[in-house]
Amino acid sequence: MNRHLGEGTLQALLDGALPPGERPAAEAHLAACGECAAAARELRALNERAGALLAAGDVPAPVAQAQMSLRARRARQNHWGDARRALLRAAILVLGVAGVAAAAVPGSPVREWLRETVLPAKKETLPPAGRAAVPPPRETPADAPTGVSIRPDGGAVRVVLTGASPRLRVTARLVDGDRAGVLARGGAMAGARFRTAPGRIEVVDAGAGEIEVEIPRKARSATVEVNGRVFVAKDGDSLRVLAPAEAPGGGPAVRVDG
Amino acid sequence: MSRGPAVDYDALFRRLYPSLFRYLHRLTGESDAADDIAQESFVRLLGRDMPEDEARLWLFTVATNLFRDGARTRKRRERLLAVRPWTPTALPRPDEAAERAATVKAVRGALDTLAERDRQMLLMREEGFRYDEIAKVAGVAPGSVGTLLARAARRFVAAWDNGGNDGEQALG
Repeated sequence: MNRHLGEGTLQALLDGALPPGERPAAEAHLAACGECAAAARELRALNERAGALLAAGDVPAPVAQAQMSLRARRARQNHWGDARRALLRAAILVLGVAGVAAAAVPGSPVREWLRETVLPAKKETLPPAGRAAVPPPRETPADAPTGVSIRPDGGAVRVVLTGASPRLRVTARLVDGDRAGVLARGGAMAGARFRTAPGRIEVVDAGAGEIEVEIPRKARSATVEVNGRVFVAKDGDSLRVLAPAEAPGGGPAVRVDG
Repeated sequence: MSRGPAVDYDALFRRLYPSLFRYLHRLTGESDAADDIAQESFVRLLGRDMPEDEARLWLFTVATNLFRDGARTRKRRERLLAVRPWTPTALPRPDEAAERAATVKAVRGALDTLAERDRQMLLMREEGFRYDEIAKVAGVAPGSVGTLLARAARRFVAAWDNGGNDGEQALG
């Protein structure tokens, strides 16, 4: 290579960014050409000076503080997501209860509407004479499950039940989604309070009834604790029961589904 | 198709935040602004599953865009407040904090003399990005990165020298 090296080539050579095919020729030229060697030295000094100037104004990165702040932001995002879902469930519940209550009041417009639209249809499907018409059991809005869900924190999930009724039944299962959730049914909802923190769901004072715990299959680790004991832990791709399903002398029953 | 185990964002944050913060601090000259932009970039990264190298470039790209958006607002505000243009000064420095603040301001002032693209390229090179990555974010041809970097370094150092800081800061 007889032509002098351009500044861009010299800079790429100094930064180790020259394509492998061009590097040997450039280095050979640099070794033979005093003018280009001087230009390379000048450019290296310039780069070092620029780096020193930039570093002179640096301040330590507030890593710990920023990480705490970021965790709080993530928790807030999860909290508001959970709160929105809880509000939606509450609204549906209220509407359902209001509808049932309105239908129960004699002379109410809802009752009249039901009588006009639903009852004639019932007449057509009356059971044969001689058999008692037993209405099928129907889940009322009051029986609708309630609960919360969170995203795992760093792949970890911890579900903690404290003050659980001895007649509580807990079922844990793996799910394909990316959120961990706890659903309370029946009497378990009575007096139960939910709390969430990053990677953690707490259920306090769940009554007699059913609690369903859903653990994302791709969670790195997960545990379910009931009244101070770890009953279930995620082991690889499955959930494992670590303690007797039912404590001696009676206590919440914990099992793994699937 | 799964791309491997779930992303450990905490570990990723600890590895990438210092470099991103340093880049943004040099770009903005303000610790709070650098921290805000870095955190916002990480918030936007949550839920995305990509290899760390890709995530790093993605973070710097998002952070640079956030800085640009904020810079427009800042410039408008500065015009309204009639802030005086930067002039390197040799004011008395009563303590280390003041000295550091003056240095940050002077470095920032010298950087401000560069075109936005050149400034970004110079700072990305200092963070160890490859030429192809710098070219991608800056929107230039990979073959021109060397030339543009040399020119940016030359202008930056010249701006510092023209500001009269040679003897004051003893950094060169």
